[in-house]
Amino acid sequence: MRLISRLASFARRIFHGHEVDSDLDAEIQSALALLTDQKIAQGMSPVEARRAAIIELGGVGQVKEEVRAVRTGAWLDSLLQDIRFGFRMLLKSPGFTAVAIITLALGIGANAGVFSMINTLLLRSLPFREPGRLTLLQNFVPPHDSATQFHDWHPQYFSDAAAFEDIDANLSGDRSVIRAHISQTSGNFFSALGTQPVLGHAFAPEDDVNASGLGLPGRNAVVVIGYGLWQELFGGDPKVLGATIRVDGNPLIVIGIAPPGFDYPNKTVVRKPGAFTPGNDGWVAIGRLKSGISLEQAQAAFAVETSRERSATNDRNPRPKMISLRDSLLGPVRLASLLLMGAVALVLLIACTNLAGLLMARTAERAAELSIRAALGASRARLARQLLTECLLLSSAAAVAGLLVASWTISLAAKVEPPPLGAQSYSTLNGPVLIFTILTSIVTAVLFGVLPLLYVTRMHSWGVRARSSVRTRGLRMVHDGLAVAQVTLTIVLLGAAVSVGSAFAHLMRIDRGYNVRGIDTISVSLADTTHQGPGREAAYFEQILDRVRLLPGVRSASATEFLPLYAATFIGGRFGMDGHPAKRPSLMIPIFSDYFQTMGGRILFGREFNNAEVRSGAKVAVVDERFARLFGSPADAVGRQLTISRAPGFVPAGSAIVGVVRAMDYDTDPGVANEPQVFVPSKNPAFSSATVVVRIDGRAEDHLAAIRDTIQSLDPQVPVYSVKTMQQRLNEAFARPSFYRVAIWIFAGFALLLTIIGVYGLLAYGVARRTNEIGVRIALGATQGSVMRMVLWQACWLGCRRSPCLLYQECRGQPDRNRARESRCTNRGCGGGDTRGGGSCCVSTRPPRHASGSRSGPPPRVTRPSVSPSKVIRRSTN
Amino acid sequence: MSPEQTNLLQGTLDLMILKALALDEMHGLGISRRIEQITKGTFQVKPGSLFPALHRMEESGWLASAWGESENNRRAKYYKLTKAGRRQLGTETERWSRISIAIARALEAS
Repeated sequence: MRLISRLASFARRIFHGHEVDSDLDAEIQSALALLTDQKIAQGMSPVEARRAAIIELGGVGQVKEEVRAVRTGAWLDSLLQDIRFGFRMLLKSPGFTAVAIITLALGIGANAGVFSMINTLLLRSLPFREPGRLTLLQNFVPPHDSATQFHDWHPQYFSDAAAFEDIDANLSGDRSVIRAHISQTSGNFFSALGTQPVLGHAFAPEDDVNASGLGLPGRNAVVVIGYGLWQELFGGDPKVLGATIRVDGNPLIVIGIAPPGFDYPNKTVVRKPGAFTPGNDGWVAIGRLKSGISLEQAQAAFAVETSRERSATNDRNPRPKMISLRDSLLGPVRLASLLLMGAVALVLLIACTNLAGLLMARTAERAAELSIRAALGASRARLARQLLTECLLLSSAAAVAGLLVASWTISLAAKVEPPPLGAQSYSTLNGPVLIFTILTSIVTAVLFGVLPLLYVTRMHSWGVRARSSVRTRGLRMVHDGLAVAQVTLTIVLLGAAVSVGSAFAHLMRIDRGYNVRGIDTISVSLADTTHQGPGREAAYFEQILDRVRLLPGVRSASATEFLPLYAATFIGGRFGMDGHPAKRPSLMIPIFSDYFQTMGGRILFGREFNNAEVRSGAKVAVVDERFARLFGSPADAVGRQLTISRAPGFVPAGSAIVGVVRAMDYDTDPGVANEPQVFVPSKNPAFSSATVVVRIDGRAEDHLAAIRDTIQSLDPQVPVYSVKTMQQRLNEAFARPSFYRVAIWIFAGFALLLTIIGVYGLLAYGVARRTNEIGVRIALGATQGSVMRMVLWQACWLGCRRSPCLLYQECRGQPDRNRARESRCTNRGCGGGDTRGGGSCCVSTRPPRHASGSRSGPPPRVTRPSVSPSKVIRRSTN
Repeated sequence: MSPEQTNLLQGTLDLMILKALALDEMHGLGISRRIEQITKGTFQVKPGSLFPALHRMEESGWLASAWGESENNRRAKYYKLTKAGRRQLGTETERWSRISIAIARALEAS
């Protein structure tokens, strides 16, 4: 009953607000009239009676305000009123509003953008069943001599384990050949991950077979192709099942289509059942933890198992490690993303400080308005709420604009740091990001609104003193504090930017063992072409090289199966010297003649292969110094025998070492030590593919097209791809750190800009407030120049005195402080004594105080008779 | 003023207003005059607290208001008790008499 009648009255006020209000006004006016009548009847004059009546009533406005305050939903009324008023105030100063919104929008937008990235990269789950239970075994090769051996390997902590190996291959449907990333997987790959083809079916466990090579036709000649490839090659035709595609020339039947965006591992577009063969160290195992077993328990069990094995075989490889699949996908980006998040948070903080300063100044300007409102019956809480509403209006407008900024940030980020699984894209319009944006804008509003709020709550209820006299030291301290906070935060951000930048510069300057400049690289694959076959591939590459070497501007040309920076596929084995096996496996890199000369590598001892050796497939080898050092002094390695303990079919054994070279950087991650390297003549390229490298006189870019055309003209059917300069490859390899570096630089630059604007605003405001004082100074004889000098000096003083290092020094102790203050006093004669914590902008028509006296207690207001104000002013303006 | 006191006074004020209106409808100043009269001057209700209370009680459905003519021909807003208001007066009266008896006993006990 009571509730219903309240709601009814609330509704009446919403729909007939104006009537209700005029009714209230009439009621109070009539009460006033009655009261006045009463007073007149008691014998007062009409004027007196009315005055007495108003006093007794307690003010018409106030009574009305109190009535409004007790009504149901009064808060909503006042909120709407605040919002309306806030809008008007913001529209009244469009310049300020625009600056504030743009500043905040950039800050909030950058935050939302980076958060969206982090949300996708780190927080959202992978599109697998119970992704948290999936683990990856690093630095560990599962048993793989045969399919049976792999399936028999079944650690007790896994409910399911699968294996895969990913490589590049030539892929052809009906049309031309393309180069694509494919993987061979154990038959249970899909079921272990907990995902299913959207069309057709996955492999059967018995699909994987024992084979002595990669991609042999047989009963495992089936593939599950990626969703994107299905769209691209077959136009999304559902009748694709049963069609044939050729992988490196082998016809394989399509039995399924993977879900959209499922590109694990490593952006694979085609998956085929595994062909298990001894000696292939490329297998990687993933496992699903049994329910009830935690990752830590499994890790411990795995560590025990592997360390037993390691000590038995005296293995010096990096220690095998079990990590969660998520970490394996996100490991490299986690730290960088969090760093980025920290940087944008700092930017937002600076933006807040900036706005706090601006708003503070504005609120002080509005002191008159605020005191009138207080006099008209607004409580302090009400005024505070009003200001907070204005802040929230600003920040929510900024949040909306910020979402635009965010989507821009994201599209930029998606180019450089694509989400690891295509199914997940960065998006601004999802729940967590929107919630984050809203929360950020609220927190922001509170952050930059808190100072004006404090100002209002400290205001006397009868209103603040007139504008010119609002010169409380507290206010000035706050201003200085804001400026200092901004400068400090910016210095932090700039410091971070500089250190990230120099780390990156260092990364790019690292000695890679070859000369990046002036090299063109072009990849050629002979798989599935007429040039494939024993001995024919090498001959074809020799033909290419013969032609390329004749081109103008070409200084030398060679080819290799693996370029530096390309360590995606590990081919190698446990090489040794003179029958002693090395303790670590080495990378094996088949090369053609003149390779080191072309790459600008350094031959430390001996020589590189000559043409005849490569053509005849002579048993010679070049090793890098780290390999040589495993067996003693590098200088002695030349002439010794290279041996291999467990020989995969295509690795030559018993070659004579003819040269020792400086190691080339085959890994993009500077934190990972390269494996020792063994270079052998490329007689029978393992994957029928190689990359031609050409050293150019002049700009590498200018010759790229000509070289590509020359290679293509030899046989247009042969796929020629990755036509890039070496520098381009390097840039691509370091695109990620480069992106983070650029992002941090942009944020730091933005912070600097904000700070400059903010500090300028604060100083300009400070000077504007001192107009009277400056006028007095000029009247007393200060010249324009000396006033300008004073302002400048004080600005610098603010900068220096408040910079973090001095702040630190100052915190160290009272004696220092006093000494500093004394010296300041003697230097300047004035102003120095007025610095209790923040007073750089000394406002001293007041005489100086005793240096030691101003530290504690309220500042003494006594004037020292020996110093006249005019003298002080003249001295301080000198 | 501490919150307890406010509550006590607010409760008292509500009861006073209800009581004042029990016989006849009245305008705001009339109510405050009537309260002063029936409490023999103990309670003097300021318009600043009277009007918010009247509006609050009207919202609660205890009072109804209508414009009318005052004794000296001025337009004034007249309040009267609703049914709910009478019920409320009953409960409040009972509550207060219980409290006053309890307090009287407590004071006599010593």
